[in-house]
Amino acid sequence: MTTTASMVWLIIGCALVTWLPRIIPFMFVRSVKLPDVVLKWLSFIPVCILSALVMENLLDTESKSYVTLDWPVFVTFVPTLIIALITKSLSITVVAGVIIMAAVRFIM
Amino acid sequence: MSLTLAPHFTRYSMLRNVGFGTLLTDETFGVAVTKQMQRGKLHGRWMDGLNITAYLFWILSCVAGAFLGQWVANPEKWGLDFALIAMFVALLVLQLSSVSKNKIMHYLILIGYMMVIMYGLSYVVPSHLAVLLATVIVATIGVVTDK
Repeated sequence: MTTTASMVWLIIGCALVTWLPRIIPFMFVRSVKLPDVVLKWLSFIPVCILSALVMENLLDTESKSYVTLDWPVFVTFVPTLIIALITKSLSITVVAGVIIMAAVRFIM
Repeated sequence: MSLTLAPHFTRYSMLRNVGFGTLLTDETFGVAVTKQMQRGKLHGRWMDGLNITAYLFWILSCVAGAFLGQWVANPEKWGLDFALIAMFVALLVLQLSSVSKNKIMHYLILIGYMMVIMYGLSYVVPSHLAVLLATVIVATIGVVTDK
């Protein structure tokens, strides 16, 4: 594969597009005091974004004409969630999740 | 994500804040907001440590993957793709467990909204856009329905 100038520019452009939205809030918030309602809104973001990311992975949007659950992932998700609830441990949940996923893929 | 974390770092210099933003990823965001909910405060050094550790391991894992990849022809078979999902599940649980008892019902209802909205949006927009839109919509519902 050859690297052309336009490709390098494309990569630089992509880097900027992902970098700017990450740093601008950090710079902006320093000079502006956010109103309470915005802070309240922001307080809901972590739970929302994490549940959205989980949902994104549970849904299968490609293989059928309608959106359905990605069954192997869902079957793994349920015990993983239970393990997370019991252990409240990030590392145990990740290791257990990977093992269960491998087992589910082996069976299904 | 940056906007959610940024208010906790206003006491640091502009340069440090640019650093926090530059190295922030989905994963370090998840870990940082969980820490913030449990302890109520975030320190710049801790954040730098988290970000730099994450990036170092990212780079090291990529290098390791390049060398070891030939022996793992099909990583999905070993469930490795689920590691990230499991991490999001665990972070979500940790977030919820630090929410006070009288608010937990409100959060669970919001997650219910999230499921419906994510499902609906998945028909009309690509999944990464669905994540952003659903988050904005449900956080707004959260503010409106909060007592």
